[in-house]
Amino acid sequence: MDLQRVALLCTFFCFAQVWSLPTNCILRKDLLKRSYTLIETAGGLFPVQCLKENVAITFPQNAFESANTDQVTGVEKAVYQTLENIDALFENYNDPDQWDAKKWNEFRGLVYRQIVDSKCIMSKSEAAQDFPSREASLKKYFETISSALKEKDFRYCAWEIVRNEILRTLKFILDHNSDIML
Amino acid sequence: MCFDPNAIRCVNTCVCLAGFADLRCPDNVSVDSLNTRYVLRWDWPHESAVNQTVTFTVQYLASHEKYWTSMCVDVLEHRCDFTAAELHYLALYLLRVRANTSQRSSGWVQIRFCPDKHAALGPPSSVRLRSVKGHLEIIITDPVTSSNQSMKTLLDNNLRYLIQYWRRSEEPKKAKVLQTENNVVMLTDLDRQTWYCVRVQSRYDFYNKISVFSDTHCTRTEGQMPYWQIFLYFLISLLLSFLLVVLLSFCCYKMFTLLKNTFCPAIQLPDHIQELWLSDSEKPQLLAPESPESVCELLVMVSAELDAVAVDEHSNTEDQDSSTHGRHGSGDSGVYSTEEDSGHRSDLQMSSRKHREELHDGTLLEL
Repeated sequence: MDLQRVALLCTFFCFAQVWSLPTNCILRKDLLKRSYTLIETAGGLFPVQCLKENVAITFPQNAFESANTDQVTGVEKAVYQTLENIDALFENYNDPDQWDAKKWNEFRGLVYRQIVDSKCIMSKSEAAQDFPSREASLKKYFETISSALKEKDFRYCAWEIVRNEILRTLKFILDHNSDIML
Repeated sequence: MCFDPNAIRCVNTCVCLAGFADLRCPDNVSVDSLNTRYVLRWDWPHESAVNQTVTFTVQYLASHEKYWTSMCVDVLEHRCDFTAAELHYLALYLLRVRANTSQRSSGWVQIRFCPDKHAALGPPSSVRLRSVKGHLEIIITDPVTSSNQSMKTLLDNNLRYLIQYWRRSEEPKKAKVLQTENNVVMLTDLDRQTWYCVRVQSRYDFYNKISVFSDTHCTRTEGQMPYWQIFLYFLISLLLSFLLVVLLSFCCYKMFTLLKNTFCPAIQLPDHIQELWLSDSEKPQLLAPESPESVCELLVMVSAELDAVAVDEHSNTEDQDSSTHGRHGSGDSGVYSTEEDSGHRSDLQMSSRKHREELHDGTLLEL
């Protein structure tokens, strides 16, 4: 009886969703910049002792490059996908205690907020044929990072490598894809 | 877990799933906010239906956390202040509240709260107005967070101000408007020597957040005085100084004449009196100084009959004496006699004459 009621209510509310704010379906540059600053200042520079443990991970540059204006939606979706992947990296683990907890908390919260705000990008009607290839590159990249983290057994240097990669990614997006953001 | 984007999201507005046996859910759950002060408010109008005391519990969850954090536990009032939780301004949170008694509880009512989107913006914390050479300088202080930091640190320089200014004599509706991101603004293009009023509002354009207006401040622009005003003041001061000079000279003249009349009077005393003044004696002397010979002499009064003849006889010879002794013999010479008593008169005259001669010895000799 209760389950039926729940299902009915949920269905009703899912269809009758009311957003209290204007739906600006666009990425915000200032929020991404803030995310970058937070993760940058949460810790220090890449520790010297971790240099020898550093793995060479190929950065998926092609995921963020656009040849013409037709590919704007593809790039937008790629950025959104990146945010989701970043969030997923930390989802199942406790927060690393080697970094500033307050800033790290804020970083996690901000990344999630951007995901919620930009979710509508994935439902954009514009055709994005280039997106599957971008998605594939990103998936490979984040899987490499995730496996490196597991291999190194979630040690201090493993997390630093992850953080370094995220910094690199966000910096690239901010430098090359600011034009698609508000 | 509601934060799983893949799950069916049933909660954006308030949803309460309550069974029959449970308490009713709180209604009208909303966040009353200003800058970084957040207060969760709700209604629960079923107090009368329940005999026990009803308390409320409030919890919140940040997006990536797994466990809810309690903020207000078993409170009686219908509000909960989240300011102390120090929520991240840009992050997204879930807030939930339920009603409890000792035995029963209601379902949770949950809302999403993102301060960046939902928290109201306050007006500038202060507006100062200063008149500078015909322009107006406005100094705006940012609205502050609950820890007295500027809101600009949270809004990441998206904070803008809308300045309204108008002439005090006009209505605010006719005000001119200026939008700026700066904290110090100079209003030019204003009339001189005029009262202007100013008020400022904060804006966060991305989410159309508009604050209330700050207090209205009025001041007067400076500026060069009009030429006619300068000339008028000059004329007035000229007139006043002229009147002052006239008054002073009049007073001086009056003083001078008074002093002159006091020390150098126009009317002089007669000479003989002046001689007396200039003489050594101190007392005013109207009579001659006292002499041993008495001024006063005895007057002999005789009868008129006897003196009648004597008077006729002596009238010629006594003329000289009487003239010189006018003072003294006046009584005798004035006594006339008739012809009948001339004999008596002559006797009397003889006797009086003797007296006179006797008496007048001293005086006759003197003269």
